[in-house]
Amino acid sequence: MKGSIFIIDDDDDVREVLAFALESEGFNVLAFENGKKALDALKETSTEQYPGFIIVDYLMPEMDGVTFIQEVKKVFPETIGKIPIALSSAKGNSEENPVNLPPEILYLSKPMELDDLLQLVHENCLR
Amino acid sequence: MVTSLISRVSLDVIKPAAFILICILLATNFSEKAIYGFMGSVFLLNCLFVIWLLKRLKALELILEEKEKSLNEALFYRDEFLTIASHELKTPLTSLKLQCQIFKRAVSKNEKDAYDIGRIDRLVHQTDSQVSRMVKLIDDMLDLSRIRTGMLSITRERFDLGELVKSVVHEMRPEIPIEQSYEECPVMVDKARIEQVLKVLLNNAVKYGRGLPVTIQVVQQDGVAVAMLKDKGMGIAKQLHEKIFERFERAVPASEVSGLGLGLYIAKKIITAHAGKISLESEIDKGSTFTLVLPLVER
Repeated sequence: MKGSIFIIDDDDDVREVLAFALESEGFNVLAFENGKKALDALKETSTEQYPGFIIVDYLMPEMDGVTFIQEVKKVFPETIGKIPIALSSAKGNSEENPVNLPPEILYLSKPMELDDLLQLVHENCLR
Repeated sequence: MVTSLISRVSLDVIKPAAFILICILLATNFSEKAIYGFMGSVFLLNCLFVIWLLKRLKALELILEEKEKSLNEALFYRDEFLTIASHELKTPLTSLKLQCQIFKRAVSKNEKDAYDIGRIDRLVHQTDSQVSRMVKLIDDMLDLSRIRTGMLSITRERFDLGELVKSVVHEMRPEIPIEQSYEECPVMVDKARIEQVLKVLLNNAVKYGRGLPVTIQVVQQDGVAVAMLKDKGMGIAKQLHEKIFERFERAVPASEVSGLGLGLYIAKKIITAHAGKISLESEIDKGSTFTLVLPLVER
């Protein structure tokens, strides 16, 4: 089994298909419908169980992707804050990043290519 | 526009003034007094003309300012709409694209479960649901354009409003309990359009209703047909009661829910085109009641 990945997206279908794509590649996937639920889950997770990669949607109810990233960097600067995170968004076009993200944050423009998604995860997933 | 007005008015003033001056000069045999008198009058008239012109310019400036404001507003709404619309269309496209590519990859790699019947069944269902979602978004955009150009067509036939509501509830199969009571209410309506309105209302009741039961009542009241949909959800603040029937308006920020923010705007236009009324009673945390009123027809 490869590393585990957190998928955070408010759209049920997107969540399901992303999870299916990554599980088919042997990753262990945990999916959440907003940033707050994912953050709560992270607080309950032991260090050994931390995900190796996080894909978070930009626009979501309760807590959006950018706020989630800021919270993670603030609350867990030395642990989860170091995990590679990709912000996915349907807001910009494929070449344009809609928000000014710190350089370490990766960007996935929706609708994404499966090959790009898998390459990004394979190259960056820590465990 | 202003320059042409000034030159036109100036010519209108100069021509008769020159004519009068020549007449006076001839009649008074070029008397100096008459010439000064005439010049004084022309000066006075010019002052009055300049005052009138300044007033007119000020009025034109205000009209231009107003036009510029409404144009900027329209451009802002257009840009906002395009952002929301492209976001809403890209979301189902994301699922569709990934589903297709996952299937393509499985086939090209000759995976043993590539043609698994359960997998194909799920793929077909998800594809169908994503396509329906996109069709709905495109229909709403087309309706917006039809409303703007006055082309929203209504083909009326006689139906029972209660039966229409019942069939919509049956078709949508909401995942929350629905308490229903119906009275026979014959109305002359465009079935597809009224179903469209009812779907918007029921969908909203489910989306914002916190999973609590929704009550639907169809009754005859004071000679009209009344359909009420009452949810026990988050409710809508009083200052938004009128606003949510406007274009691109919603009770919560766009990031909180999906959709174009056109549902209630289109619903109101459809009900108004049926000589009916749609209204809302709601308070924060006390749920919302949407009421449709349509004229009854004789049995």
